[in-house]
Amino acid sequence: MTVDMSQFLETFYEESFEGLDIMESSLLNLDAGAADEEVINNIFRAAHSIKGGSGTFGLDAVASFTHVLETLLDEMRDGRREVTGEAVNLLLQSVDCLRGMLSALRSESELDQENIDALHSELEDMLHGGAGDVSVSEKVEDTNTGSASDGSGWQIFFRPLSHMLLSGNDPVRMLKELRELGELSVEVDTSTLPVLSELIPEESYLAWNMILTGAASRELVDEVFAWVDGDCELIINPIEKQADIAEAAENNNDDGVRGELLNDRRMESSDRRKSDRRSASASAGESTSIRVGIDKVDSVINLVGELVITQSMLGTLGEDFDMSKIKHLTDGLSQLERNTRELQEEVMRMRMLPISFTFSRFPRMVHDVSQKLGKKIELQLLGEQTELDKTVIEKIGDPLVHLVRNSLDHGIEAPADRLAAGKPETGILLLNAFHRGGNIVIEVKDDGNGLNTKKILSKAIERGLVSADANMSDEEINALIFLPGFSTADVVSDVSGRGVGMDVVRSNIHSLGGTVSVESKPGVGSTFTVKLPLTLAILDGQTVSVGNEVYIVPLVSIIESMQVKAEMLNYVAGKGEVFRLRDEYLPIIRLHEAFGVESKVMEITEGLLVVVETEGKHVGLFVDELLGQQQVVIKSLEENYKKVEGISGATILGDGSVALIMDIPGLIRLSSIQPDLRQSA
Amino acid sequence: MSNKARQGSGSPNTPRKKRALTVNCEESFDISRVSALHEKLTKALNEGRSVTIDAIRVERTDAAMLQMLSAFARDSREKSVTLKWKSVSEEFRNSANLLDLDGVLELPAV
Repeated sequence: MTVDMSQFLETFYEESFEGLDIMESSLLNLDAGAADEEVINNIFRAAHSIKGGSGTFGLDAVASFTHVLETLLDEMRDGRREVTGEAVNLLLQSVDCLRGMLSALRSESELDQENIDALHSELEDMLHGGAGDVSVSEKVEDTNTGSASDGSGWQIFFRPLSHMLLSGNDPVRMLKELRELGELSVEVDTSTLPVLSELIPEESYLAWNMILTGAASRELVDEVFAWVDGDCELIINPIEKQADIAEAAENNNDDGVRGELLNDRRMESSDRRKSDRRSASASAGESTSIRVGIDKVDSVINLVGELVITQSMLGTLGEDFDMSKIKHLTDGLSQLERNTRELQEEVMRMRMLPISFTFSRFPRMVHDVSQKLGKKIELQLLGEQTELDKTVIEKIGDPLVHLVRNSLDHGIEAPADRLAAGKPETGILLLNAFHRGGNIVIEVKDDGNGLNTKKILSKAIERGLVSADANMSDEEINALIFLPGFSTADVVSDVSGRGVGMDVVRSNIHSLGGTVSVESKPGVGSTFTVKLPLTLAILDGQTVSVGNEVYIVPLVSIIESMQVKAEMLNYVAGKGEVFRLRDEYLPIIRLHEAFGVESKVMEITEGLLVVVETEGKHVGLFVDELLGQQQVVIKSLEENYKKVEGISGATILGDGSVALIMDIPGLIRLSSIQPDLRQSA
Repeated sequence: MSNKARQGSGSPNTPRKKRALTVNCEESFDISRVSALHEKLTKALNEGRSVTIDAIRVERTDAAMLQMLSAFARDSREKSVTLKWKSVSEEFRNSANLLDLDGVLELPAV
């Protein structure tokens, strides 16, 4: 048997990316000149873990780079180096660099050696020529010589638990780190090492008694064992208690000094792990795996247990069934349905992650961009714990970055302009996430200049996107920035700088089954609202029939369904059939025409119109009849067949037949209906 | 079956010398290889075959590998099975030294 180290490596990468996120968010919280010690400790711990892990896996480039970083952080932690804005920026760049290195190593692509070397030498320069008095390496050397004579140091007893080696932690590496802290003498205890034939080679059987002489702090010694909290028995005591400890280490019981020390240590470890987990949960990062709370897993196991009981009950009923037991059967089937639905909901919950995974990238972005643009911007985050599907979380990142970037670049004004306009010097950018009606809504709101509707309209007319005599509301005009015709640089400079790539943002959000809209007031600010489904795996749908086909209309898009009378119908030249709904005319899409199927009902008055909404626009879908509502599991049409315009996926119905799921925005495009068709009646 | 019968017909008066096992260690000589080597060494120990280990190429080793080799070295002494170190890299020696296993392993003097 060979151990597949790649599984540990993947965990290392994931934890390192989380560590980098923690470093980044902590660095952004550092106040130059008055740094919080605990914040620096957080950063140091993350860097130290990355260094340790990279050394274990032989990722020498990462280990060497992190070593310098760690040294710098250690000086800041000890108060020997001032936390300056320059240092924070350099550390932030180093975080980026490490992220790049780890990504490259993970994908087995080439490292950006030039950038690594440049930053490495900048870190070295700061270390040796900066505000710090003495570098850590010098300190260790001094310690080594000085400490041996005064006899101070630490007595350490270390026994890895049997599984520790399998977690990728290696005593060789750890003892090497200890040796860097001072003079180390080691005595191995092989008394529990079994005979070769009974030895499980990946398990640990050894223990070490060590004496570390020197002036290394307890914290530095603790850091060496930071990765094995809970995976070992560990006693660290000042050298003065040497006799007690040696005695206790010999006694392999959990009582006495050793027992107390172990308990203390385990409690510390547990607290630290909890706090690390809290930090990690608030950080971002795309990954191929997901961490699930044990409560969610337990809940699924309970539900599976109930499902098995129901199945067993139905099985027993089936062995000796007669019509007198029909009630038992229907009861059992209801229970089965309930169990299945609950199980489905719980499993879906396992994929849910807080949106903080996406939001956490923005503090850094706002910090960098505002510095670059010379603007003062305060970022406010609300609803960070709002949960949505992991896939949606990973895919919504880029569109949100685009929206935030636009607000920073072009929405919020320069400090002087804001003061001149009677606004506070510091602009506010608010990211707000919340649930509404089975969807998640994310708002990107700024108190900047707002959109210039006059310029947008004139540009749209100039580009032929709307007619010169179009009677449009401000809201409709603002929505024009999402049209592809607006995504050019020259438009940006003319229209308050807004509009770059907004069509790309919209199409990305559409691909997630979501919508985006904008509200803006000149001089007051803009709010971009993104509405997304909670999951991409299951959808609440309305089944409708068109000819012999069954289609699914996403329930979230449906406003109402109705039979229309002939007098409600009209025809607008060049724009097709419309019908009057209360005080407005809505375009009609005949689904049988859109999908090229034969319909049993040709007259609109004989069928039904399903009024659907997308991005604040309404259209009527002409169908033969409504069949029912149900949750459907979405299967990708693109993966199993090919992309079909107007269709977002497929599902398998209860009778085994396949039904296609409608993509409302795509359907509108397919039917060549302009979303701005709606006119006042 | 008598010893003689087991020895076969080739050399009736001298027992056949068991073939020595030679282990050429890879650059990365660690937990990822420990299980396979454990199997080989256990077999060699049971068969009483002498073992020669060449660790000159080792650039990285770890506690799992050094621990298993230590168990083998100790058991081979007890069973009078020969363990020879052909050559040992500096990294291998330093790591064994660091874990205080160089004595158990009886690494050759530099």
